[in-house]
This record gives sequence, structure tokens and C-alpha cells, in this order.
Amino acid sequence: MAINPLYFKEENIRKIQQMFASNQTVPSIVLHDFFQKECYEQLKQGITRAAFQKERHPILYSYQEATPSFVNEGLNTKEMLDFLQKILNKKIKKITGTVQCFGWKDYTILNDEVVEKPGIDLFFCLSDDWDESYGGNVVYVDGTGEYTKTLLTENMLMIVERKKGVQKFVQYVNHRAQNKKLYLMRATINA
Amino acid sequence: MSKKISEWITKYAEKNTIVALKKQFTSAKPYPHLVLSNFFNPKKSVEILKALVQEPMEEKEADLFKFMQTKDLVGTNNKILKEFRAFLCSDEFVSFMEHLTGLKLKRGVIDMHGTLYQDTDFLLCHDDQLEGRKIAFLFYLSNLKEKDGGSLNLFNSKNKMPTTVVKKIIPQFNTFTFFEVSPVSFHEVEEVITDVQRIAIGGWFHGD
Repeated sequence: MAINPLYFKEENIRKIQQMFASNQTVPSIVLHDFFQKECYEQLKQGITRAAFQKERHPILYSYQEATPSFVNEGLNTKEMLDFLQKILNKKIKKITGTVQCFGWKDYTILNDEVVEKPGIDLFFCLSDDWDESYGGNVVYVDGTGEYTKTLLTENMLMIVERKKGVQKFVQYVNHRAQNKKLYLMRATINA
Repeated sequence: MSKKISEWITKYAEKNTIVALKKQFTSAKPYPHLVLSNFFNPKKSVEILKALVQEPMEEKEADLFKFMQTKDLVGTNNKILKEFRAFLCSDEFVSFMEHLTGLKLKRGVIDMHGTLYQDTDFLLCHDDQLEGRKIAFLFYLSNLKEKDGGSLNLFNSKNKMPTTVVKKIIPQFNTFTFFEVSPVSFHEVEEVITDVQRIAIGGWFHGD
């Protein structure tokens, strides 16, 4: 997957590293126009052909999920691993990802009995016409009432370091979404 | 029937009615519950609605819900809301609820809020379990249609996990609904999808 060359300039990498670390509770960065346009269009086409399956557990989540082979191949290219290693200043061997699709009535819920281990989350958005009013924002909470809410928009990568006690959820998608779908390619790098 | 009960409740407090309702409550599926229409004195219900819409509400939003809610009405200064809360906590009404449910309930202790659900508001599936809660109740103060959304949906369960919605309760003015809080009392409020206002008072009776 071809990354926008702007993100390989030393000056930009330094800025990204600084911004990532500036939020001490939930270190995070949002990178717009992340993939080159042609690559982004290919990814979108690939996603529309993927075989999604409904995953529903009413007290925990509702969405569709698929794991097409190009997702993990793309996440583990030398280019992608080099980029993430520079930003995170961390050796990364392998990334495992999936694509989740959120439509009307989909969500994820926090649960005390299903707590994720600390790690680094990657969210990449593959939807062009998603509006904040539909819901579907990715929200990180630290257990003290503080939270970080991000609307994922087209061709945007969000990298979040989830420290101990920090959990995430995807807000309920309401009827204003109608038939639109929010496609999120996501992966977690364990701490 | 005590004077207090007859002042507040329309037709449900006769001895034979209570026996029949208890059977209905305990055998209700997917878990014990009742839906009692035209429950409270209609004149008082209208007064309660008028008073409730004057109470300050704040937006509540989290992973599980989005709606407007008052503070606990224990702090209200409004006369009719105070009287209503006092009635629900009273020995007479709590005894009535004990007869209907067969559960032992505390007198004088109740949690009670006003809620307002508008377009896109929702409450996702959960069981309501919190220490002491025995009966969850809802007093509906709006008339909704199925097309509005906003129904109270009750879930079947398997191995103490919710599976599918098997009962939908569409809010109707002056309907009093309640269910036993248990590890399987899974329910949700379906998203409101029109410009209707879904107004209700809800809360919990506690056990000893």
C-alpha cells in the first residue's frame, strides 16, 4: 500500500512524533490523505468485494467484519512497518488487522469483563460520505470521565496508544446514516 | 383499598385484580413484567407531565445511551412531582407492588428520574443490575407509534446472555410498566427515529 510521500519527510516525521506524544493520557495522531489516491481507491474497491459477516452480541457489539488477505498483506509491507516503527519508535514484527463495517444500529459497548490489554490501535477509514451526525465516532475513555472522540473520515489513519485503563468504543450509528456504511480497517499492535 | 391508593390508581387495586396480575407478572415472558395501561389518576398524570417538562434536564451520552434526563426527583421542588414520588415510596403503594410481584421491597427508598428521548436517542441492551435494585419501573407520559421507534424491547436469553428481542412495548400515555431486575432482565430502548418526544419517569424500587 503506497503511503503519501509527505509522511516520509524527516521534518514531518518529527512533528508527528511530537504530536503523538503530546497527549499523555491517550497519545494519538490523525493523519489525513494517508495513502496515495490510487492506492486508496484500490483499497475501497477491494473492501466492497470482501465477504462480510455479521458479528452481534447485544451487550457488547454489533457490526460486520471481514478479513480479506490484502489487508494483512498491506499492513505488513516494508513501507508500512518502517513508517510505524519511526513514528512509534518501536520494533514491530507483524500486524494483524480486519475490516469492520458499521451501518444503522451498529455499535460497540465497553464491558468490565472484556478489557483489552494495553496496545497501539490503528484505524484507517475507507468511507467517503460519512457525516458526524450519523454516529460511528471512535471514542477512547480513561475511566475518569475524560474521553477523546474522533470522527474518522476518508483516507485517514488514526494511531492511538492505549495505556492501562484506557478503553475504546464505536458510537451507535443512528438512522440518519440510512444505507451508508462506515468501513474501518483496524489493527492492534500489542505493547 | 386505602384512600391514598384510590386517589392515585384507577382500576388495578381490587383484590381479585391483584391476584390475576400477580399470575400475569410471574408467568410473563421473557422475564417477569407487567404493562398496565391507564394506570394512574388521569388528571394527576397530566399534571405530572406538565410539571416534568419544566424540570431541568441534561444530556446523557455514553457508549450505552444518548438521551436527556433530570436529576433524581428526590430533589424536585415541584408539588405534584413531590407528591407522586412520596406516593410511590409509600407503604401503601410499596405493599401493592409487593403483592403484584411477590418481592420484598424497601419503603421510602426509590430512584426516580424524568427522561426525554428525541430523534436519534437510544439506550442499548443491558440488564439494569446494580446493588439493591429489585424492580425497574417506567411511567410513560407520551403516546408513540411503532414508526417512531422508542419502544422498550425485552430480550430472550440463553446461558444468561441476551439473544433476540421477543417483546416490544410501545409507550402510551399513563402506562405503568415494570419488570424484575435479574441477571437476565436484558432490555433496550429502541432509537427514536422521528421528531416525537418520548417523555417518561423511570426508576427502581429496592429490596432489603
